[in-house]
Amino acid sequence: MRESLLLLATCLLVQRVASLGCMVKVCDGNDKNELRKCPDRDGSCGEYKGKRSDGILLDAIDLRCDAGRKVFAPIDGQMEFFRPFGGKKDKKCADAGVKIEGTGQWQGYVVYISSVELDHFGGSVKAGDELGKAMDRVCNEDESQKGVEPHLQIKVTKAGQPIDPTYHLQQCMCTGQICEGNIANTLLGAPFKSDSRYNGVKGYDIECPMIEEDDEEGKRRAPIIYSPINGEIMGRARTHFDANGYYSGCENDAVFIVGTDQWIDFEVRIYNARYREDLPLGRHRIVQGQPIAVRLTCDSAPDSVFVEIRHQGRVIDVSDMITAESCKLPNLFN
Amino acid sequence: SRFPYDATMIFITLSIFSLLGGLYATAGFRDARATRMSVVDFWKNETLGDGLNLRVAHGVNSWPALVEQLQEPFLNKSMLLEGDVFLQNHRRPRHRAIPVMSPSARAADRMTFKEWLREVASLRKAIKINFRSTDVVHPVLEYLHAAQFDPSSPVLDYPLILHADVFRSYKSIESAVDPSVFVSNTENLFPDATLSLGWTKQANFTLVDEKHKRISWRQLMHILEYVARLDQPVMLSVRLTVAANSKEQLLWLLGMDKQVSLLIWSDDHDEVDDWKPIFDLRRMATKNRVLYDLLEKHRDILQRESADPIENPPTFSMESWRAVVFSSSSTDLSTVVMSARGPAFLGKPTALLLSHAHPQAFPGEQKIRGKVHFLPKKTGKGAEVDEESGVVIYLVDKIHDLQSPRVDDAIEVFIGYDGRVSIEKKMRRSNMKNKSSETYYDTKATGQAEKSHCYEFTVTDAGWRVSAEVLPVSCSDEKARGKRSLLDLPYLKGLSSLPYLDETDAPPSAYIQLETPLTRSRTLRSVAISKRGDPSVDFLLDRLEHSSCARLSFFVSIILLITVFFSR
Repeated sequence: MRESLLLLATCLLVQRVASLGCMVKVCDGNDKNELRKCPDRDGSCGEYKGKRSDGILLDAIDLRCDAGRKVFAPIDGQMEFFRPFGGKKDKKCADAGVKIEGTGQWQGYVVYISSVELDHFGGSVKAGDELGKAMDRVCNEDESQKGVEPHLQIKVTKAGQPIDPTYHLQQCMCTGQICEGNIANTLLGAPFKSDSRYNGVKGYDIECPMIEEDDEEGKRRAPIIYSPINGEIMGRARTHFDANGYYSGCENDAVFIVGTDQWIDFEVRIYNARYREDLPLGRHRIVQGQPIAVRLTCDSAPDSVFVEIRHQGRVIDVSDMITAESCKLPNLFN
Repeated sequence: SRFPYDATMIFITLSIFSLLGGLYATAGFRDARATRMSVVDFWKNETLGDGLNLRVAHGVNSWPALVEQLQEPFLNKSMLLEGDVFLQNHRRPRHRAIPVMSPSARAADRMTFKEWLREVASLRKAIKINFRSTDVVHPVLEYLHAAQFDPSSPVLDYPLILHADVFRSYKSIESAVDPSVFVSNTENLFPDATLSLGWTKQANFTLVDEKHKRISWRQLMHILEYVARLDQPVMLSVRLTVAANSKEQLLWLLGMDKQVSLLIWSDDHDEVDDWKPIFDLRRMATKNRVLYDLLEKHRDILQRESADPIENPPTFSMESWRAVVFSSSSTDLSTVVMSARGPAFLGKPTALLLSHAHPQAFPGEQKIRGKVHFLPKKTGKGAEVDEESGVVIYLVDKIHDLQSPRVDDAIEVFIGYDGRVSIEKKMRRSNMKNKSSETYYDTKATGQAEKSHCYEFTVTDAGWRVSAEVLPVSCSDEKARGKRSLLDLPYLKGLSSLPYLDETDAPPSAYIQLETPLTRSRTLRSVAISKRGDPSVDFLLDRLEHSSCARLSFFVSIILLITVFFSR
């Protein structure tokens, strides 16, 4: 009883973790991070590698945003000021932007947003922090000549190479962080491998070691498991039952979630985890990142949880969505 | 009736087929591996595991040269066959550019790469393909890649070396092959081969200034840029004279925790005055890791000298440290490269080196010592290097949940490339609020050592106090030996260390200390080493060691042993 109370207290403290691989709203008034319309008035496109007004296929996206709107940091990181037009005289009125070098789950990523009139010019930012106000990128053009919707240009690089940020910004289908203490869903072994411990089903072995308490030395507790998707929790699932038809064994416990909203048709089972006892029994709604379970602490329990994901009943390979490599839903209908 | 006989025959035939199938499958498996093997290991009986016994057939680029190969005496057979591949330039654009073996204009002598490979594959020798231009890299590798899956193509089941001169040497007469093109193409298209990198040819090597006849540490970092990221075996092709002048650098490369080998070659321009480094290299390195392709006169000198291995104790214990590398936001290599002769930190500060040593209980003392060699990249004029660039030694309470290369909540000992030294206590803001006791302690101590490229350092953590001593030293080992080294100073071996007060050649060292609160667990702190500041300031750590001595616990254990003994 005391333990469950303690657990409840810790759960309240760490309510909902940020979802992995998904960036938050960048421009005030554009909640869904929509791009400027394609084709635009002059036939250009703001999508990744879309043809811009000057005929260039750009490794960036144009996010619809009116001048003067608030601009927010899409990721956690260290911010810096940069000049998107490199000090060109005719572009002087829009030559300001922000460069954010990611930290935490965004380690190795850099986001460039232009043009932004910054409130401050350096320091660390959290996702969702206000950075400044959007500027008119085509301020040097005459009002009648303006061919495109007002927008911000966003370029994202990973290890120095440009990547397509579209699905990190919108219709983001990445699973959230699953285990406390493993912010990047680091996998053990190969992704999408079959595991004999869990009936040989294919899935993902996610690192999940015990958490060392901050205040009490040497004391370790089981890590919290967060829901990877929005859905309805169906309760406990079991891996196997014995000859008498009973469920037995300490490590014989799993959580079963059925997806809703954009995760409809998805089912997730998380093995080596116990359903949170303080949650009401039976079917009820949960959101991505909500604490739903704790890892098992049996003697034989491994330092990982095993996640099985099904779409319309079939086990599917969605490695990129788990590790947040890409948040685009793969083509599952073939 | 004849039925049982037939049945037996069918059975036998079937089993023979299945056996053949099995053999074929194993052979197929071996193919992929054999091309990756070291030439010396593959010809173990002939070379006796020594790279000096390797015989190379050079420039087998034409039909007559190939015929010569077939007529070789059996006992004196060459094991490695070398061919150069160029891209044929046609005058007319309607002809496709095809890889050929020599740029000879006469059509009769011309041999295409495909013809060459078909002939060479059947010669039962290791093959070395020299890529002579950047343009030829892709088409040749594409063909090799396709040939693996095409049953009509020649089967490659002997070691394969893909070579290109990717580094531009001083006063070079030819242009270098683009290293990134070469490395990325081989990695993608034919990873089952040894990748060999070399330097471009010079017009007259004897006229080159001495200082260009060596591989500097800075050049070594440049080599690592391409080598460190590869999974496949790598070979470096070095001229004899250059090898003689770069013993330390080459031993560092050979000590890396991956498969690196060396090919030492010579021609008439090579004149070695001091053979000792070469003998040392031969005796210190593993025999099968160094291959020799020397002129007869040079080979004789080597053969006369003893090749008994000499003790080459690693100056850095790779087992006691663990590298943790986080992804970097830049395309340049940003990592820590481990070698038995010390770790090298490159690029952006995204890597950490964690000591495996378990923190001792207080009271006790731990020391982290070593020598740092700073190797700043050449920056353009006017480009300023971040002043706060250098080595950071973190002393951390707990090290288990590292999720970014920035360690907070630690005591940071910093040694800057410009001699700046500091010990700083950095606490997480949340922790600072809770603990009012923290305010009783100073948070930073700073010092300045004279500017040098190399510093010797000793960081001592006694739990309640952390001190750092930094001494600028000369970088080359030979000179340092004459000088007194900080690591040998007698007083540093004891507990009480005093500021350096030597009267004769007192080096302008820095000694600073900071008093610190004890950890809650009453143990000394864990140790992690990292880089800070500018990605252009790389460094090597030499003789890095983390030693701890907890005298009290030693006595306690003895007393415990005695009591256990008597209680029985």
